[in-house]
Amino acid sequence: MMIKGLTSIKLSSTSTRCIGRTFARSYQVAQPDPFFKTEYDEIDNYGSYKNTRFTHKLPETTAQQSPLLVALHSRLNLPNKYEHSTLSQALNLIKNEGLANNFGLNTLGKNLLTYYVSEYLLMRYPRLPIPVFNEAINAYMGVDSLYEVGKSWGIEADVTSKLDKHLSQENELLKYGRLRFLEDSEKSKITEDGIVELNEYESRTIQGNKFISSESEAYASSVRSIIGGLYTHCGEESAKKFIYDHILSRKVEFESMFQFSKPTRELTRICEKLNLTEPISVRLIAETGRLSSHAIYVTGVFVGNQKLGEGVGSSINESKTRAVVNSLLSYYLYTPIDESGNPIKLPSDVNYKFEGIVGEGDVAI
Amino acid sequence: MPVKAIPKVSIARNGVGTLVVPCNKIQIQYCNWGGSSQGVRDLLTNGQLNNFASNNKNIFIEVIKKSGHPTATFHYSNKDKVNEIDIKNLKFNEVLKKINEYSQRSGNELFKWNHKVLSINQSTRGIWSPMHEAKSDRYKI
Amino acid sequence: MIKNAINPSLRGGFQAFRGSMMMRSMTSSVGTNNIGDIPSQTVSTQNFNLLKFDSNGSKNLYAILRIHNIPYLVTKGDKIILPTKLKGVKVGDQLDINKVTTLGSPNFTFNDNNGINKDLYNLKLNVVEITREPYYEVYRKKQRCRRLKTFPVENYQTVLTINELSLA
Repeated sequence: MMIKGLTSIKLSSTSTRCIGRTFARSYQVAQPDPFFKTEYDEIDNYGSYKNTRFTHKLPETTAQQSPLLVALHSRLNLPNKYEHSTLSQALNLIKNEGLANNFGLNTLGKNLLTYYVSEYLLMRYPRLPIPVFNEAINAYMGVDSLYEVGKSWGIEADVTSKLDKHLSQENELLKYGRLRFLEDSEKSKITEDGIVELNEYESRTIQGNKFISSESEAYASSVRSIIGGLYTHCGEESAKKFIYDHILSRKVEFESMFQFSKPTRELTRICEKLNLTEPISVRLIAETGRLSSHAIYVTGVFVGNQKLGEGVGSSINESKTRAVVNSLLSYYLYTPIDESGNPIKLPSDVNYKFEGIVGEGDVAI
Repeated sequence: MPVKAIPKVSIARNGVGTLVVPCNKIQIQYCNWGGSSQGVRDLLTNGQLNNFASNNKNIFIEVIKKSGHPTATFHYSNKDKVNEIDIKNLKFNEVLKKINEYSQRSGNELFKWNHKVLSINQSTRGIWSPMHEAKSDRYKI
Repeated sequence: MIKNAINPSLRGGFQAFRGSMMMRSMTSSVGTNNIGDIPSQTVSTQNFNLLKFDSNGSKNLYAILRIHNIPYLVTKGDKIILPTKLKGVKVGDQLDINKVTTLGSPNFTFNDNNGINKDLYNLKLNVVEITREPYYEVYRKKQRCRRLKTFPVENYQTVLTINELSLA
């Protein structure tokens, strides 16, 4: 039976509201976009979901004539199988102009990115505490970094209105190689230097005095979509390589992402958890002398005969804290290697076999 | 909460993993009448610019006809840097040389690095410390 | 591109450093007592593995490579800034350096001044940028001439990045 299902879902979402007061929802609830006119046979038969809104894809021959698309295609070293029209679709965020947009490619790319980035982090740094792990994921594939990636690929944003394009007699094909995320009405808005007017999306993303601009979100979404497009045309292997080449090759300084509140206590808990029987001792290794003009102390953290970490500071307390923090970092940033000394294989590699490295979870203090 | 995380953005390292050539667009502006544009006009007619374009498909080349001295504008994806240079009164091969040279740049300000290697990594061995000598070898203050 | 003769025979030796094996420390030790020079033609895999383990799966690894016989100490991701324009090289090329004299981890060094066998490591360099140094002028005074001669200087620079550095 065919149900025009959207209305029923809408009803259930409005029923969360109480009379007189609206509760802000703190979690994400997936809602079908009425724009796509999604239809389905049964609500839980996901295979039958179909968008019935008619959109058309840019013909490949047209896309190949857009110099911007050809340049971008070649700059990213995309394989010949990757169609230029898909690339153009990945750059289109506008829904209602009849051309296919990047909604699906974006979702696909985002899932791929999430998988490979979290796989990489979990296998390479299995002991990262959850808050740092989340921030590390964000550092690799958050909107800010993907915006930078998109910029460095030389993607241009489409900021001129139809009228301006007509007046400057611009080739129509150029548009298809630009990042299209602004409606025509938004393009002709008058802006004042130093003043930013937030649109609906931007005001939803305010945190503190920061927000995600719709431009950076658009760039990030285009990057994700290009990855999604690579997966659809060339398969998983090349999508993985692309992610490793462009996203995971960037540098994240994990050492500077930790903020410890009670490092000594945390180290004690970790040692308890690891069943280290001997007590921890923090001992002075060397000093320049208390009466020297700039005294320097070197302190080590020891468990039995083993040194866990070492710190240098200009007071005994400072060097102690540094020593403890260094030993905590060396624990958290541990990278497993296999018996031949190589980094261990990842689940997505060929011939992967489980090598028994699982994080032991965070400690509570 | 045992550890709090400090948000960071990953640092780009172009050339690690893969290289995306920073120069993405070249605008060549010339005049159809003026003598200072003769070199550019030669370059356009003898097909050398076409050669350059087909060898560098990653660069979008735009040719603009406008009166005045000819210029070449190089757009770099690196922080949206734009570099405009004068190409007036140059022979076509000199113009081509300029285009070749500027398209290989990254758009950064020119700078002299008086050391050999520029690194953002922590050093593998750390810095030498007199405090880690054997106690007998240490310098006494 | 950069040609240096490789001596096929390998005379490798480990120089053990005095620093104790630590989980993490900012210190280095400078003792260079040569514990075991290996005179044989092949590298003992056991000793090479020591370097591999100590570098934590090539995470803490540096190499000293030679370009035009000048040594450059690099880690993965570093930029080498050459004060010249390399011949026959353009942006986007990948260079295969064939003279690496030292591979080192926090506690061990593997050294061969004639160049380490290429099968033991992976090292790839990318040409990232060919640019120039900032413009300056040099003034020269010639004998028996009142005037200063001005020479414009704008030297070429080539920037290479270490794309890959790991032990095989």
